[in-house]
Amino acid sequence: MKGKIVRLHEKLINGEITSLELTSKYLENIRKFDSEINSYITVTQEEAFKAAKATDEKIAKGEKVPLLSGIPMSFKDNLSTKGILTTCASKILSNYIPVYDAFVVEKLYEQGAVLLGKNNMDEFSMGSSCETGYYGRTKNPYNYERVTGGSSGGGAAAVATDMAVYSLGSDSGGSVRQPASFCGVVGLKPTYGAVSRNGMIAFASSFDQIGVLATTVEDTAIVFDTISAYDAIDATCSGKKRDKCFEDINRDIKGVKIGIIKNLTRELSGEISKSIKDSCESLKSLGADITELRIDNLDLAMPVYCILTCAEASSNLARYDGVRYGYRTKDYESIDEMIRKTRSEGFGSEVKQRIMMGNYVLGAGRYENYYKKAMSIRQLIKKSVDEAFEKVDVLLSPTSIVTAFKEEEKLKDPIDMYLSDLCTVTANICGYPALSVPCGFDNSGLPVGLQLMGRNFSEKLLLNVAYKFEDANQIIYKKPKGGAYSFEI
Amino acid sequence: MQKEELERLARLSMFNLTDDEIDSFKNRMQSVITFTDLIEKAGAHADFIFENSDNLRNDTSCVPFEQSDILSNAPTVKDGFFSLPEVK
Repeated sequence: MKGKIVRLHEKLINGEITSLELTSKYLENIRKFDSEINSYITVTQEEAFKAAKATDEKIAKGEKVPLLSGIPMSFKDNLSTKGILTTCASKILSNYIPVYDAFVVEKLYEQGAVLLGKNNMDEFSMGSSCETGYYGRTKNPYNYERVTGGSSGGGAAAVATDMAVYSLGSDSGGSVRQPASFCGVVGLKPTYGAVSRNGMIAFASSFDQIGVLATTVEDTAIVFDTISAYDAIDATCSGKKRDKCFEDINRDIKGVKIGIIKNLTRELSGEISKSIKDSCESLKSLGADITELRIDNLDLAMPVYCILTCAEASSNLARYDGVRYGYRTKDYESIDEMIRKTRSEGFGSEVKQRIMMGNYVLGAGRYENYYKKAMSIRQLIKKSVDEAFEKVDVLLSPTSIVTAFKEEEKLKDPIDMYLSDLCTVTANICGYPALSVPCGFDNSGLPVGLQLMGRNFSEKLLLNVAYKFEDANQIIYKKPKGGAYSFEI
Repeated sequence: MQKEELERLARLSMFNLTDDEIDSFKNRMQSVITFTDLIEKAGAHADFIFENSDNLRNDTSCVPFEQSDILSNAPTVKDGFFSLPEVK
């Protein structure tokens, strides 16, 4: 299924529309919908018009422009943008203006991307509902009383409502895929090390990965190809040669071995179960070889994620002290008082809880039983997943065991909130790529997402399988009536 | 999770917690700890191996940012330095 980017690019170079007109249309959508949906923290109209004009001038001169040139897009507000407010949806960074661009921001600017603004998120990416941020919750475009999922909920909602053609988010436990599933868009978490994290504000460094949110699989592939490159500044960024995913994305998937993860499909609600079964039938009819398998130790994935991400967050967030940047409290007499008051006033409760949890599991006498044991089980989970990949090429499950839940429904119970990422965390624990593609709707008309996970650097195969699935099912055209979601597909 | 333990963690984390926060965090953190105790009880075990596949850069000097840029976000600055209250 042809994506938006290629079609808009063709319109731009054929003179059917200018980038300035296109950008104005997207900004108009932001004005129309975002006072309600709240998907943007900052809108960068001036910068957007400047970038749009630059593309229009090149086209007017007859210059060849890249596919992403002149296309309006957005970034999650944890990606550093030089001269543009970058808050991580936290009071503690509510006045922070980076002095450099993140690697991925540079890569997209080089292609002529038009930045519309910075998207709302859970504070420091800590959450699965886009409700924990300083700037209020983002509403699901399908039903305003429902959450978008998180933490990249702002970007998912913006893409779903044509307030951005695509968006970059980040995924530490499902933060791109779960909101993609809840908002009916495509979300890709690349292989750990495929995309540089240079300039991304860290939550849990060994889990964090920048990902793509877009309306179609083809758009996702185009953006991923652009941002996936070696960067010497990020020591964990791989020097491996990348396959171009957009090229021959339409190739046959006959004989591709897909394994349904039995332990993640066992207790699904009827509607989600039906969508997953229908998806498997569809993939089978496309020639894929479908089998069922069980992966050991997956029941330990969520506690492992919980311990390790909190431990890493407690270290990463120790830097926020009101000394060099960000919010600083007003009244203080000593440096100790200044730091304590700054951090107490600057962080929200979810962030405070995870920092304290991190210090708990790293504490003397607990390090062995919690942190070290979680690290060893992380390896055990990876080993179990690797054994599955000896039998199949792709692992399949729902992206989430639930569809978008009601606002504040899971805020009171941290475990209930964590469990909404049950299907997605394994990819982050192992560092493997995974994506979510829309595969149906529940009885309330809320989107259901299908997750595909592959071996390291298998994005080309994952996007190929997702493309064929999307093309065969055209779920995007089956959206129920109502809601504020996308108009022109 | 005892109140004293939570207060110790708050001190370590450089937070001042109100009584209401202490009550709320006590329950929430207890449920997270109970949940993570699953791994303590798990029989599964693998040897802990630290894998470091980092690509380290050559140690060469450079000037990536201007001093004025670095200081531009600081709440208080004096004579080209970050300015802080007295250490008591």
